[in-house]
Amino acid sequence: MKKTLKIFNCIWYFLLLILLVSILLFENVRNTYESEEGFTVKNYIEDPEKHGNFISERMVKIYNVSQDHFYFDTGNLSLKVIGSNVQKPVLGETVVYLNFRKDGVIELIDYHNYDYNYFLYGISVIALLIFLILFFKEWKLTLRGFEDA
Amino acid sequence: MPDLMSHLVIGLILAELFNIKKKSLVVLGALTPDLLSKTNLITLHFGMPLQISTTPFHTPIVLLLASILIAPLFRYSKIKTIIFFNTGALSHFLSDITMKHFTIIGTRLLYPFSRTNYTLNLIWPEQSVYILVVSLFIYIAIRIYKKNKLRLRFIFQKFFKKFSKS
Repeated sequence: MKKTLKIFNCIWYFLLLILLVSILLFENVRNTYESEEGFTVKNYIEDPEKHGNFISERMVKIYNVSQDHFYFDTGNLSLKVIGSNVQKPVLGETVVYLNFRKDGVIELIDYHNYDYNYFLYGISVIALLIFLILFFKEWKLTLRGFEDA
Repeated sequence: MPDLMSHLVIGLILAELFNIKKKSLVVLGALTPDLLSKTNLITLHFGMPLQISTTPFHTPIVLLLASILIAPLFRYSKIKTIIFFNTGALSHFLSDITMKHFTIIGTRLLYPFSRTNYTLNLIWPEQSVYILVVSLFIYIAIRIYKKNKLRLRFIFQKFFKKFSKS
């Protein structure tokens, strides 16, 4: 009886694991398909006529801000955005709401500065340390898993 | 929310309110959605060729499945581990849907059944520092109350007795 229960338990966890891996796999395959066929900045730069007329929001680091335009970095590409009266954030990033036009021009619809966001990232590191202290105060790692400390 | 500290403090408040002994399980649940869903940043940072998206972990149903798999790792009641973990996770998702966006970026509450994003559009992510301050005050107040429960009850009783006499 005990053995049957153990086998049933193993099958149950195995099926759960399969389900979880399948969900992750499905999401990754979908993402790959979207990055090949759907809208990405890379696809847009290559063919604005095909991928243009797309409105999206993204978190970026802006630089070279001037009266009527600014630039943002996508990692390996630097993009020019048309938009006036943009101000640089203080110790943070900017969320930009953009219109990727069919003529290849990227137009700013709206933006919001995440001021002092880097400060929050710093706090997050402290939070992680507090969590680790709290966790290992309550649990100790043994060969049989986490046991009462 | 961009900061883990708010999630941690909200998790601790819930653990205190429900008198949960293993607070770290609630906090683990409150932090895991952000920790797991951002593991792909490591592969991205080191320029690894295989980029795996772990964003499904930032959804309640997938995290529930993950918590069932994690539970046997703890030499503790499995049901309690799953409940405490998901209490923390739920607090994470509820605080995340208050975030403001220009578009419908938000939390996929019903994933994998639906890819719809939900958001209440209340505050910008960087303004979560106000949530942090408020929740920190609430947590400290609960701790003080719990530590001095008897003393406070005695003071209040004395005060009400005096008040009713006058």
